[in-house]
Amino acid sequence: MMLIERLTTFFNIIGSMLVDPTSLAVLFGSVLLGILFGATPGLTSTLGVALLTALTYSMDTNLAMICLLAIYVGGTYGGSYASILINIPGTAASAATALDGYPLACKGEAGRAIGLTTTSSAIGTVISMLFLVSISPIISSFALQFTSFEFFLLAFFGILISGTLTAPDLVIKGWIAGFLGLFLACIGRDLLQFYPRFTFGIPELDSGIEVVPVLIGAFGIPQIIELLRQQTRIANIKKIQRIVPEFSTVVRNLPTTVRSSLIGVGIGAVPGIGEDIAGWVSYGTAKNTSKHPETFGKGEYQGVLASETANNACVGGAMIPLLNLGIPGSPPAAMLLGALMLHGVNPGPMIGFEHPNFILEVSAILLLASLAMWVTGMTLAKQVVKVLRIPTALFMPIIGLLCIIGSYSLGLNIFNLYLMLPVGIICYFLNKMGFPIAPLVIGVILGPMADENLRRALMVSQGSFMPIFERPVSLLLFLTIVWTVCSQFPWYKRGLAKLQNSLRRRLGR
Amino acid sequence: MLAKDTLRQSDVLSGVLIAMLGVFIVSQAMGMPMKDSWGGVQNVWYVSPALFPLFVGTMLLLLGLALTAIGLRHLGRGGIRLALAGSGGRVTTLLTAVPTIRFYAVVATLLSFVFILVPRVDFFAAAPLYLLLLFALFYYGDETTLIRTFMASLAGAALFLVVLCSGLRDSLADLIAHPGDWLALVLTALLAISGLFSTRHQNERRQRLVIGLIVTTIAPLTIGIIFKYLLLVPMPHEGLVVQMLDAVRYAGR
Repeated sequence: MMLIERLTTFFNIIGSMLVDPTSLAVLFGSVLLGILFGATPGLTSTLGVALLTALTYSMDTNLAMICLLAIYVGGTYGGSYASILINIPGTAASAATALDGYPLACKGEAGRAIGLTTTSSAIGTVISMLFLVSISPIISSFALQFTSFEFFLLAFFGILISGTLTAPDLVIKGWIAGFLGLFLACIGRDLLQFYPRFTFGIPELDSGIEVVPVLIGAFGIPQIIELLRQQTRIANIKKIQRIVPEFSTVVRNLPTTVRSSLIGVGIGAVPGIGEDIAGWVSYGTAKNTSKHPETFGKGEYQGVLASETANNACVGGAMIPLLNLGIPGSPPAAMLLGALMLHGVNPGPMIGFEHPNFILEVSAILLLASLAMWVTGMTLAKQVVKVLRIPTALFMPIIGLLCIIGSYSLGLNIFNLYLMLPVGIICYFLNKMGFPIAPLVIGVILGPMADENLRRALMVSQGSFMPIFERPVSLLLFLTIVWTVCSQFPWYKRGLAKLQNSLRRRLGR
Repeated sequence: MLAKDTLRQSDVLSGVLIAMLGVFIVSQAMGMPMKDSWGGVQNVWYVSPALFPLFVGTMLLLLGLALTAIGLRHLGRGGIRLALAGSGGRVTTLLTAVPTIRFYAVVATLLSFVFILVPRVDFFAAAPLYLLLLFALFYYGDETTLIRTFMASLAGAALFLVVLCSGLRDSLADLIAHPGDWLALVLTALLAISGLFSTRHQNERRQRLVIGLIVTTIAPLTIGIIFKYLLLVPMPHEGLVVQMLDAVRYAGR
């Protein structure tokens, strides 16, 4: 009875939104704005939500939520455009998408890739919405099991796995790139004691290094330099025949879509971890479970699908701790928390009593936003792919201009530009020498989390590392890290092969 | 990415550099408060700000040494000798190859735009100069004009340095408001005129130049207006053109 009542309320909310032209206009307008924000290097969904929070202050709470959630969903999806088309992730969340998206664009399959990511992003959002409606309290309580040791190990695992997965040459280079990112994250005053580390007396370095200039510098500048240097086209473009993926393709990729959605929801539900980690973990899982892992990084649809589904599923996942515990699951969710408070909604355990239908309203908005995203994405895809027809020498300088103004606009800080360009030039050479760039950026993103949580955990345990082995989640993460590292050594592979052979012989007897 | 043998040669060098960075990080971290007092608080090793840098530095040192070892093992003694013997020729080829000159041209243009123009010249005046210069180098220009345009761009950057970073700017400001903005606009106009002159007998290049000029005008205006007036992001330096745009905006109200 309870379930039927909830479903009736849910569909009533959807119905009321669908018959209201203002809600629909705001929904589609915000999704489109979000896609534009996501697709522009330097503009993120966090910035989009932050900007719209001020604009929605005078709106009715429901309309404001439509506006903010739609721009969040659109922004998370929009990042894939720049990743696929020009190999510059529009947002950190879509960094993993570039690994296979751009090679697909180089093969002339950008339209198909965008069609598939649009569909999988929509499915990811819908699945996360289902989780939000059904089992959000259970996931919230599991996410609360994470303490400082788990956060440190998760951050460390994120860096190691991205280093392992993205290294085009030697895995060790991926790890080095990750540690270089961690070093960049150390710069600035430390978060616990406010001690200046590696600032060399430069006041602008006191607040640390911003992620967006590093992201744009690391991905954007090398791409601009290389394309102008080699005078090559950005990517090939064949005659665009079909954008909407075939039903059989969607069904064939359904296991990857569902698995990536679950990863996205799970990671989104852990407070403080965002869409970027979800994308990487999902990409890594897709590669590890694939029958053809060697095709990843060379234009594999499953790679694009895995990261895009997970980062969009993270949106719904991030809503779970936000609404049930009042703890934001990702940076844009932190902005949403502020917006909700501005509108007199205090997320937390009491939300079910104070606003009984609020979670259902948010779920309904997420469902409609994912549909609006699909319609807008499919309409835009055919037109957006045409940017590949623009000559490189005409297009890349404009992208350079966008990168520069985008880096500056975050914090209105010219120092960001002074940082972005040298990082870009260094990354160009690192790229040439076979170092992957993504782990460096992941290191910068996760560095503060790893540093702060390691020290906080040791403070609680009075300098003991034993809690790692006493807590099930941290033990699991620790063993996964050890396995990730050991599995790269020849002696491990030889030992494993020997073990398999001896087991086979024994079983054969 | 480089070829495998060249990669392993570069690994030896990059491994050493990374190991040196690791040593530097560790040495800096050793200077951070470990057990002594900082800000009135008695430290313990596990809360020290040095803990994480020590871990990162040590890992970089070990991984850098491992990378060098991998490179050396792959090359062997003969390979190292060959690499050292061929390095002189490779450097000469690298310095004179057209893609290398293109690399210097892109990097120099980006560096001068970010470090000289953006902080000191109105965005709406600096961006067209940056765009038209890159178009002159790579879009409507060709290999014959590449070096000439590159040298001219370096001379332009030097001129900006002299005008904007010396006392000359203040002296000029007494004569004319926003001298840096005017200089950028004049150089853009000169670049356009020289483009028109150099492409006068080449229809395809002339067509490209016209497209380049249209983009040079429209792109900075569109991007700048969106950021300045819609996203309310103040430009890094606001001068002549922003004043004009503001005047137009307020006149329209």
